[in-house]
Amino acid sequence: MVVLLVLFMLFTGLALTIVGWAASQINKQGDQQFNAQIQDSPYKDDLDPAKVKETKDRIANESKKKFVSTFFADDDESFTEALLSVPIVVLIVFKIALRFVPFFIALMGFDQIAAEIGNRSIRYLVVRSRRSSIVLGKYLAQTTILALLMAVSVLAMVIVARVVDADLTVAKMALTFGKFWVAAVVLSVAYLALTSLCSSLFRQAPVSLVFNIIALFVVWFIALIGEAYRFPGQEAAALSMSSLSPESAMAYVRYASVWHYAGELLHPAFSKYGVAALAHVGFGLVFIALSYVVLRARDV
Amino acid sequence: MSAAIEIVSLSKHFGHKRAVDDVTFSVEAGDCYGLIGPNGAGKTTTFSMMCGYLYPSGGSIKVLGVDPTVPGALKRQVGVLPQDAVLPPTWPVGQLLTYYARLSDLPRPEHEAKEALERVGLPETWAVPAGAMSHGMAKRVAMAQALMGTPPVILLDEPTAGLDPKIAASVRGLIRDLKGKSTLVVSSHNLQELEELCDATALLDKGKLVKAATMAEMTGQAAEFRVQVAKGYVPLDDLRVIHGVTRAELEANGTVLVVNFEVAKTQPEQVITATLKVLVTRDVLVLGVSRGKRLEDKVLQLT
Repeated sequence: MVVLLVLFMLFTGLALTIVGWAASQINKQGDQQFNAQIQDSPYKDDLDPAKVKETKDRIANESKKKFVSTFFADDDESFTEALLSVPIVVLIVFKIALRFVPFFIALMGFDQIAAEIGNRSIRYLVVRSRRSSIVLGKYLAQTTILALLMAVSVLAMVIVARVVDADLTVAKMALTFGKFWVAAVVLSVAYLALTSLCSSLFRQAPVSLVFNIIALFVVWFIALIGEAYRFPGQEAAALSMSSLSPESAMAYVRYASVWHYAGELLHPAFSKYGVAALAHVGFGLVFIALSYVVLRARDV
Repeated sequence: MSAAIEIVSLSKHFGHKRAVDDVTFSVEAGDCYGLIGPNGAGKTTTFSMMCGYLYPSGGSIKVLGVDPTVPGALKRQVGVLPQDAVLPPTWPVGQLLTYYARLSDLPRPEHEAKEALERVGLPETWAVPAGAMSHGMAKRVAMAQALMGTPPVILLDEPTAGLDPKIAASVRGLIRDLKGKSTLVVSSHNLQELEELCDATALLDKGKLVKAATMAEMTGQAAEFRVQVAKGYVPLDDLRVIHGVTRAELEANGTVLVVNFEVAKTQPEQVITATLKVLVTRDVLVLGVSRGKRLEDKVLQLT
């Protein structure tokens, strides 16, 4: 567990460093551009420094808002406002980490059943326990470990957020921790079950890992194809995708991918968050049920 | 006696290969039953179906009246020593056995684990990680987990394979102690061991059942004995007229006298005594008497 934690923290730390550096560079460039504009202004001597600072902050906030709205909130006003309550660097890192969690889960659990079948140690269990108990027991154990790992990682991110943004109050930190942690755990529910399913399909653990990664790409591609067909006609034309019909049934395939629902796990509206959470739990139940069916039907 | 294990027309195919083909036999409750046969005979496959590890392709199998593939059917009913199953390497032995005892819902798991380790002579391995043990020790720990709670049926696949003679003898002693307490099924290549331990046996070859019989029937103990002759003339004609004797012949260059008789007409001890009387009267020097044809000979003859 410590190894897994270190691995995930290293990844998060790396992402934080890269994103933090990129953000500071962008801010620096923005500052320089703004200062240059002020310097070039014919009225520079008459400008009120307080108003200049206010304008600078407003421009920075607007670009931040636009960025969050475009990339993370799907142009949803309330969602954008909710996401802006945490420092943007931490938000980006969390979003990146969340997208990599499925791969991390695959690495963590690919051998949970496959290795036991491969070396036959499962034979000591099946005469004592139902196969459903084996699947569920391993799933719950993995979920518990991941929930703990996520708690530590999210806590570290919130602490970084406090360092970056001195205005972040303890209450806000606690709220952010809660929201991020719940989102990470709910997202994991489905992918842990997918990993369990992949692991129960094979006798060789490495094969199950490869299959798991392929499955993750399939899940991602399904969501991507659905998104591509979702563009309305005008937008599609603007993006040279005019051949794609806005009414195409293909757009609906995105609902068949659990990846599609991940974006709204931080949404402030309970209806949106609820749908996303239910979708993850639903996919999780389907995958875990399939995992049981596979293990129940197979020779060990 | 009722049957503890009933196997009817059991088959198992792996693709086109028929590992077990239409096998039928039953194991009486309280018996020690041997599964024998050459490599690839289908012993381990049959054994694995008894444990619910493998699903039969055809036929049926009942262990204590239940289908072993039904979820939870074997819990506390069957103890299994599987062949080549690796014990989780990072678990300390005591913790592992206690965990298995808990999964089996045994009332005092830690006590059961300690007692089982003592039975296999490894109480000192309590804190040793399973992965750090030698093959022989791991085998005995695996044996210990099968014995915990003394289940009514114990299935042992190659219990002495790879063990040194001293440890193998202690494992045989353990199996002997279990006789009468549990129904035992032992799959092994060691025919001498099975002959010594088992009450009945099934001989498999190329997936088919060649013969299922009591050990006495299998080795011909009830109807045959052998006399090792050191010196002297053996009067075969005089022996053939003893009551119940059906055949008397010399084998191995005249050094072994083989006598067959009808169990229905006479008791083995009467025929043996009468035969020895004839030989002693004719000044034949006798080195030894053994009953029946050895299991190994029988297996070689049948497969």
